Amino acid sequence: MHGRPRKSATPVDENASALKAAKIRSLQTQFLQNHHNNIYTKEALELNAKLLETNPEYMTAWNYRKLAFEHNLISQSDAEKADSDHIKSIIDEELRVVENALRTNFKSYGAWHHRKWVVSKGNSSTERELKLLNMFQKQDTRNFHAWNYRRFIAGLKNISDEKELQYTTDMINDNFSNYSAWHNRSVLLSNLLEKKAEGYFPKETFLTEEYEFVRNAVFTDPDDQSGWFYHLWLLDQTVKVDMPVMVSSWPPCDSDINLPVASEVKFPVVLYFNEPVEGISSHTVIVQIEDDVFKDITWSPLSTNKFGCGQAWVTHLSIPHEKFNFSKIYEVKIKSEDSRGITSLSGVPCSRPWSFAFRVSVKDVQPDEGQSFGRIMLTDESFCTIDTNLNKTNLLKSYFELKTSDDDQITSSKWKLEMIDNEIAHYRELLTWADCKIGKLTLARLLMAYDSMTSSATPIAHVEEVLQLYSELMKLDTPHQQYYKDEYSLVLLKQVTSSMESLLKHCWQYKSTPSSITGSICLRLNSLSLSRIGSIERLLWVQSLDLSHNQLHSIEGLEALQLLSCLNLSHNKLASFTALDPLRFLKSLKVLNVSHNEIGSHTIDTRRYQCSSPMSHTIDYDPKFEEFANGDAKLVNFWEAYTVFGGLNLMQLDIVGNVAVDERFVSFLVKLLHGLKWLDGEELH
Amino acid sequence: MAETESYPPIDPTNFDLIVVGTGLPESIIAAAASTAGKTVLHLDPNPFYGSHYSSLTLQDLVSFLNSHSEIPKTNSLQSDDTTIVDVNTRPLYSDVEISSYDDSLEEHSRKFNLDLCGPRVLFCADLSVNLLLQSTANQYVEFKNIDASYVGDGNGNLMNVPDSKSAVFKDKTLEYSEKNQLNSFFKLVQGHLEAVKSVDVVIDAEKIISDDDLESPFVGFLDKMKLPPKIKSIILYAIAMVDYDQDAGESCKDILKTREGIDRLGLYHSSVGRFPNALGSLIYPIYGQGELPQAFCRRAAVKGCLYVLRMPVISILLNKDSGNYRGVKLVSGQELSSDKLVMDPSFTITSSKCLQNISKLARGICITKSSLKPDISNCLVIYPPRSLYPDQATSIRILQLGSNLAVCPSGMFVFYISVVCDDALEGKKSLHAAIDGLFSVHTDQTDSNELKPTLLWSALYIQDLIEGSVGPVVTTPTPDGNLNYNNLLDATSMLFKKLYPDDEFFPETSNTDSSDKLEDDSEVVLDS
Amino acid sequence: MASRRRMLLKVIILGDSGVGKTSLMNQYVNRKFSNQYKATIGADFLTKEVQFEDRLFTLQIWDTAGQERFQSLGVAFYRGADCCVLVYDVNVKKSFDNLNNWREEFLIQASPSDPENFPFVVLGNKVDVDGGNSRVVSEKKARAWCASKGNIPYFETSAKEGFNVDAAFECIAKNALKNEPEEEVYLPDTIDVGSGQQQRSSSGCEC
Repeated sequence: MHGRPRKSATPVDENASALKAAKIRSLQTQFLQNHHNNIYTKEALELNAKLLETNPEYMTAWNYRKLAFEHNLISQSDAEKADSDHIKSIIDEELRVVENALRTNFKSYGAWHHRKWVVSKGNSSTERELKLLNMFQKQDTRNFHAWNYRRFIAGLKNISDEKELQYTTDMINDNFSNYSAWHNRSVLLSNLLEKKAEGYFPKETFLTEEYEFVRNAVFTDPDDQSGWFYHLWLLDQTVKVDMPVMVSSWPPCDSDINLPVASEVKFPVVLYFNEPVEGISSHTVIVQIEDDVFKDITWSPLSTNKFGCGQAWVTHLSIPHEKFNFSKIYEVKIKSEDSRGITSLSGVPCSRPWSFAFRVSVKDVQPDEGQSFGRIMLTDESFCTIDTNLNKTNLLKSYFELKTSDDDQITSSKWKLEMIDNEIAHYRELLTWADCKIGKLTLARLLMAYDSMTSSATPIAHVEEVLQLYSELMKLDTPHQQYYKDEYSLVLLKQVTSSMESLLKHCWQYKSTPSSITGSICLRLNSLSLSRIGSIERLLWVQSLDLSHNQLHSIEGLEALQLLSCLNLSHNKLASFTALDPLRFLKSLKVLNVSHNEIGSHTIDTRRYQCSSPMSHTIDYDPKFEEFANGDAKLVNFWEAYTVFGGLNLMQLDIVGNVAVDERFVSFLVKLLHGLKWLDGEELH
Repeated sequence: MAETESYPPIDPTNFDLIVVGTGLPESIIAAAASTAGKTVLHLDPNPFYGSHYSSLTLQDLVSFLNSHSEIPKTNSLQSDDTTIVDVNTRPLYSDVEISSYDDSLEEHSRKFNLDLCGPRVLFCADLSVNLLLQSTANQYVEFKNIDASYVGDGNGNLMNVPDSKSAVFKDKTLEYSEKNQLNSFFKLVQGHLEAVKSVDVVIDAEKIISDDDLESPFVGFLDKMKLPPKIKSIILYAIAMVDYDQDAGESCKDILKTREGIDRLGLYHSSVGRFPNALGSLIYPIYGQGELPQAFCRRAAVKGCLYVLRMPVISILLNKDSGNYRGVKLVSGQELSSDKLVMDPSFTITSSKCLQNISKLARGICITKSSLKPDISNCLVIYPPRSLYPDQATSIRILQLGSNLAVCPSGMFVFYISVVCDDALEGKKSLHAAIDGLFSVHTDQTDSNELKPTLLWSALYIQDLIEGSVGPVVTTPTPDGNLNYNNLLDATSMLFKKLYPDDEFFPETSNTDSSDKLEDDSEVVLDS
Repeated sequence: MASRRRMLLKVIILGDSGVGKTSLMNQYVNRKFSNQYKATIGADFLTKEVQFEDRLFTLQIWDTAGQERFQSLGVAFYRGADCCVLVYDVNVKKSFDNLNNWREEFLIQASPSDPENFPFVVLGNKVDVDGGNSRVVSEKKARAWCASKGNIPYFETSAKEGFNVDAAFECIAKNALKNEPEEEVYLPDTIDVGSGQQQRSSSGCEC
């Protein structure tokens, strides 16, 4: 068992266990003989039962019993078949064997599984099963086997969810530290909600009572975790929107974008949802330019996993050269078709159709190809304050325009806000007499939830209080500091992106003439102690981004910024190449600075277990790598770097100041990145 | 005066120990001595076991109270022989008041098992339970839960006592902040008790309450913890079971120290959940408290103790030369000798020794046909000092028991009331206040009293409180005013130690007897 | 275990000191007999599992522990008895005469709800002594008394020889079963402080 120190065995113990082992071995030999010869007599079964009592983990022994059961059932005489008592006695015997095994180890998988198997055959008493379960609950209220089995029996015997709910109420009343009981409660309430059972649907009917119920637990003993987890579930139920919704896009609705002319005018269209979705395809989303429906559009998810889902989806639209008309403004319309095909990960369809339109025009300006590419620096000297009349700033406005919500949403927002407001009042009170960490965390979550649902002019009313809470938590609860830092960063970014004014404060204009690479505006979020990135939905327009001098350990979310061409990540805490994985999707990226990070500081890249690596599920092994490595075994270490950088067309890269970067690596990079002109400040030829 | 039976003479005539009276302390001593291998003779003038700790039928209770409240005629067998000292009975009860409002009760007399020393319950983790287990006398007794505990006020309200984490959780009358305070205090106490027990002193040291605090009054400690008056009252009177008003300052007769208060809370909490079937912390023996002395007597008998009921002792015999105790003379005329003698406190040997300033206790027994709360069969009610009337100086405790404990006929309920008092007047006043508060006395009442049970019968009496003593003979204590037997058992084991300093008090031995433990059909018990 | 119902039957044995109550118990349960008369010391109660028809039950036989010597059995001893065994010594007249007193004492103390039909069984013990020559109570007389008290079953036994002991107890068990439990069934929710103590606190570990 976990956490128990091993004690060396005394000679007496050793002797005893040797004897025990010998006994078991002989039983086992005999049993296996029976098993191999398909002997299912009463004696054989008794032998098997004895073996299982000593060693309930022996799956073969359990399976033998199943075979015996079937065999004996088939080979019954007619008289026996008619006698239901006979079958019942066989079943009773099986159940008795399971009980004995459970006495030895009441967490034995094999025993519980066998019981389920037997009980599924019918002819068993519900009462008895429940009685057995009650007994196990008394012994250990968190016996998850017992709870699982309970759910199984409830399903098999059609015990109503309401009745089971009452059972959890009783258990919690008895001792509210019962995490499993709270958990079961959440499962049952979800079921009832799904079935739209009376008294439980819509969800506001039970939420108030549940909040009160759990409040008694957490207020009586704030140090007990069980109630807090349940409260989190309740909050989630309160806040969550019941179906996936598209929250933002590039280009934004009703915008005008101007593209430089090129052999092919190509631009990305990004759809950004409130949660990861699947099912975006040309069947579910229609793209129209003027009145032509574009066929053969492929949408791909912008996500570092291979599951075919993502919060952001992209497609690339191109207008072929022939069709150019410099004076024309093309109206592009994107709308959902059969939006029910778009579903959340849990299968909830997007039932409300959506659409948006934007206008595209082509600039009659020659692209600046062939010009010498000067080194781009994202330092203070490169910028000046922004001119709010710039076209680009108008584009930003679209991200802050309020969408009209329908009546449903308004009324649901109302009860949600009331409920959360009530909770906020209570938990503020709790913190006055119980200075507990999880209380602060809950209050922070409540305040953020409240803000996220207000569509009013002050969507960030509580942000300062929340930031304060997270700062306190970072000091109070150092083991979880990273988590609080991340949350702090997300809240801070919410604040920054909450309004046009606040966002513009961080937008700077390039002094020199904007190139197609840098764009005219750079969003500078440097030196904000950010440990991760969020609020992506309002940043889809960003072309130049400065995130230097922060504490980023992850750049997850950046993959959705399809316009990104200049990115400064220097002086952060990126610890591996796999942390740079999102960059893979930024096909427009030209200028990248990842200098002075911690790439390669650990010999074992633990992120490997979370994201792409040769062994993981996220990307396929690229056979071209072998070609590239050309037999140089040492280059195998750079596999991840190959994956990240290989698909990018970088022109400028700064990578100095990372442990993994040595001469060999530099030459590898130079070999890989053909178009690279600047490396660590040096011009390449 | 008990009849003398035509018994054969008792044989042998010499014993290591003679015990007179089969009350609980005496029975325990007899059992302990027998277990330690002593030859013991246990006598009782009554035709039943238990003496002042017994449970009796309605009629037997009335006659016992009456006969033990009269001052008996002094024994006319005055003799000049200094080797014989008369044994006199001193009345332990006084001011006995029996009121019956329903004649039909008499015919059911036999169905009652009324405790003389009630209200009395056992905490699952208290000394009596441990003693039952240690002596294996637990095999002879079965228990049931007390379902609930209430605190009463002067307005007829009975509020649940939030005495455990789950009770606090469920309580609908406490504010959230009060719930937090009360539970935090429980955790503080628990932390202290565990830390004191734990071996890993270094880690848990900060959880231990300072000695200064421990020696200070508990009420002061509660103030220091900033507990509001309502919570303080619950802790002091409904959980720690304190008698005297702790806020009375100097005039409080018995200020409870923090150390003791914490121990009492600890007892309460370690009792909750000790046994699988026991829902709360309190249990009560089926058939009444009188089962306990019988259980210990049986234990003694199994270990060889000789039992003779209906056998009063009329004189003590002293050694001619030393004047020390040497034996007893029975009402049958037979003389027996022993090394030591233990007597229950209703027997005195020196008529001149008059106990001054005896503390008193007021007790009451009531019978009704309905419960205080619907669906509740057995419960405890506490009225903290000054809650029922302004001059109420001490706590009043009431125990309601239903017929599922086999103490009364089906459909009826028995109530035991007790309150510590200075004199009979004060005691009776408290008893009456409690009775008026809980019951309606007459059958024709206004609607507002419909909810109160109607009183059918009551017995009120005052009992003297006498502590055990060691002198020429060892005297055991009278029943005290506490709810459990802990103090009495402490006193009893101390008396045993004085009697037999070299012997262990019920040593833990493997059960060599062939007797097996009882298994209850309704629950399948797993081996631990 | 849960597949077979178990029942507990309490049987008490009454009779004068020395008639052989403890020896009968011992013979039945342990198949042992000891000549030494200090049998009352240490004898408490013995249990034996008996199967009857297809039911299994536990017979719990209570010894008087010597408290009968001066008629000092407490009321607790009699409570809840399912059957009462009255024993006398066929060689001691007084022990037979006292059967009536014992029967009445039982009915008073135990107060069964149906005293007329409460199951008693009478055993005339020590039939082996002196080859039967010192017998003073005839079988006929004993049977007549038993018949007069509601046809009480009667057995002549010898604990020493083991004669008729099993048969007697089989009958005792059968009769104890006949006795339907009292209406007020106290037993189901009782707390037995001896069985399994401190609740095992959750290990928390889910494996």
